Amino acid sequence: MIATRNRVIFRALPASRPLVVRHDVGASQPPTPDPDWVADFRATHGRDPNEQDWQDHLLSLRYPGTGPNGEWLERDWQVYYRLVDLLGGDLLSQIGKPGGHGTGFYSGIGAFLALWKLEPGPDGTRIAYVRNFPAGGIPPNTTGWTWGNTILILEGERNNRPLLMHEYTHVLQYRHKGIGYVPNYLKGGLYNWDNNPYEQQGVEVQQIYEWNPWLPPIWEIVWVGGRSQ
Amino acid sequence: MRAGKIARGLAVAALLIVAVGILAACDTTYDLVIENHTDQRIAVTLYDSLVYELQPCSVQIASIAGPATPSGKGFRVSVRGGDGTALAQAEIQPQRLEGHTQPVILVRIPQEGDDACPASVKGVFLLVVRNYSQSEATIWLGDARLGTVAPLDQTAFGPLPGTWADVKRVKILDAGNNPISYSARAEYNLGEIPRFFIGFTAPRPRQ
Repeated sequence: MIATRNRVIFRALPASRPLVVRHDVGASQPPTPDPDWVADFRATHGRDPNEQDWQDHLLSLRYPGTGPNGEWLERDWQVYYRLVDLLGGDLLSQIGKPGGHGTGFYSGIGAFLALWKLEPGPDGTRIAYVRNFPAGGIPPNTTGWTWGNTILILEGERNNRPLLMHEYTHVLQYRHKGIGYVPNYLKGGLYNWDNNPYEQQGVEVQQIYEWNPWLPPIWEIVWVGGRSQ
Repeated sequence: MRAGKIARGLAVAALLIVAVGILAACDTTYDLVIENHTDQRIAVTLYDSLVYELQPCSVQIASIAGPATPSGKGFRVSVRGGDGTALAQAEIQPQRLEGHTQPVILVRIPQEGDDACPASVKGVFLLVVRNYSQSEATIWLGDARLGTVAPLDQTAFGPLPGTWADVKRVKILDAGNNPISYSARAEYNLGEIPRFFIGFTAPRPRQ
């Protein structure tokens, strides 16, 4: 870290490398770490923060935690990191990306099933709030169905935030696996969710949000990689 | 001619993929109701990964996702006592129950017989709303305005007549009258008025 006149300027590096100072940061650079926060972080964790730590900190400023005045308590961070570990870098790195290798094809099927009555959703998704067959686009007894970047949710579940997080987890899975997603999903077992890793991940994410309504939505996580314990 | 064949082939391939994958990532919502009618703590596991810990003589209700189409396959549930002893393992078939809009996975410990706890209170509930955002929110139950919840605060409304099914009728509006989605679950002691917890958040207003 180098001090430049009265301020400290950092540069983001990939993976878990520490934050590094550089001179002459341009206007397009993201906000720079607060030196006070850096000092606090060192005192608390006994190490230098990395870029992911800084992004996580920024997220904690945008969304209140469960502590006084919305501070994030230690247990809040534990829950957050549990979510991050559950999703893993493979999925988190898909946030903000459209997905490739067939994701668009699946999205198109979803749009067809929704009869193109789609609303813009978070992170480039499109959401249709629909009824069950035959009045609407999803099978009987179904409350959520994801095809690529298209999410179909039963009209009555519009306010069900954990369900939306479950379906968005499927979006990230589609983006990661592309055209291979459906065959891979079927290998896990259509009805045997005890052995289906995609649904295991979905239901665990859903449970985390049911118990922790304060958690920021997944799509707000800025993933640069290299989470440190 | 050749282009037509290619187009037909692609259409058939697409239909096949749709047919095979028609129910991939297709989810149904179930109400998981766990009633601990014993005087010991228990832990209930579903999908080998979701664990619900219950105090003696208590109830938890949560919404969980499960396979969409009736497959005849039950939900494998295992129950352990507070000391880790295996108490039960069963495949539970979802059932339709009064007071629930979704099929219910009902886990009752013990399944039948002696009951060491007070009877359940039915037909009324407390709606405990926790606002994790930094803006005031207005809470509606159907067409009835229940009141507001201050930023970073919690308010209990009720007792209100109704059941867990009424949680679906809750609407939360921010200061700009925009709907806010929320999480809901129930946790209470047998013999007490059921407490249904709702929580929601929103980004801090920009400075």
